[in-house]
Amino acid sequence: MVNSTLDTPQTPNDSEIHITKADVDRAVRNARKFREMVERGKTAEDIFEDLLKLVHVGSETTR
Amino acid sequence: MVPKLLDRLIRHANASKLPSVIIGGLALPAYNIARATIDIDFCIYAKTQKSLDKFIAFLAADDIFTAQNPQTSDILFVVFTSDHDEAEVWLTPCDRFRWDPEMVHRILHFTKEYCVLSPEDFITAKLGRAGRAETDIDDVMQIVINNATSLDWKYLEERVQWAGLNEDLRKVLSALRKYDPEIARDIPLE
Repeated sequence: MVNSTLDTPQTPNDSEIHITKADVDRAVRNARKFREMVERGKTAEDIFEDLLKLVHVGSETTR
Repeated sequence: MVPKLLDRLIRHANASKLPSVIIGGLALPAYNIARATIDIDFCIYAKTQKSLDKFIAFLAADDIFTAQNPQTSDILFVVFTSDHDEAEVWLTPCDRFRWDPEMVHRILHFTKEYCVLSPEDFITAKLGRAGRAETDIDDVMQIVINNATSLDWKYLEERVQWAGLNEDLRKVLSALRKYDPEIARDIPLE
């Protein structure tokens, strides 16, 4: 979508939000995984660097 | 060693005096969550065409190209290198709204080199995405779960209201309250 008049926000998303208990459980589980990584000594910066490596590996494998 | 594309984009944004942030999945560790991603989504705030042109000239001089003719009124453009590295350079934090001074003021220095939007603006951008997917809602839920006690709830409320997304945020928070009573006590918004 390209709109050149975004000075005021455009009409909000039409896609309905339906969140189930399973969605919340998964989010809680994944959020906990991050906290556990931090408890094991990784910093948010370390995790960012890991993601950055993944981006670079991804770009190399698609060449 | 040639610096990676993201670092080069940041260097050229800084040289052009353009505020810049990482957006998308790569920004998530700044909000205490993570998921795998292979995309580089980079966002700059170019107030004038002159500053945008300067940035693009810096990129071109560093062998980073675009096939488009970016204008400040655009939402994003794609850049690539001869090594086939690619990134989306966004001119707005989201395809539903533009930068404003408060968003710029609230930019977070995640590390010495890397900046991101404030968590409240990131949540608003996620909720406002035109192609909003389940992943975006999942990201928002996780950010709330891991940052509930540190979010600026008043600002978040104002920002989603400004973007016309208050009902969407309310649905996310209601679901979290309903299914995760532990997090409920840390969410002040009704």
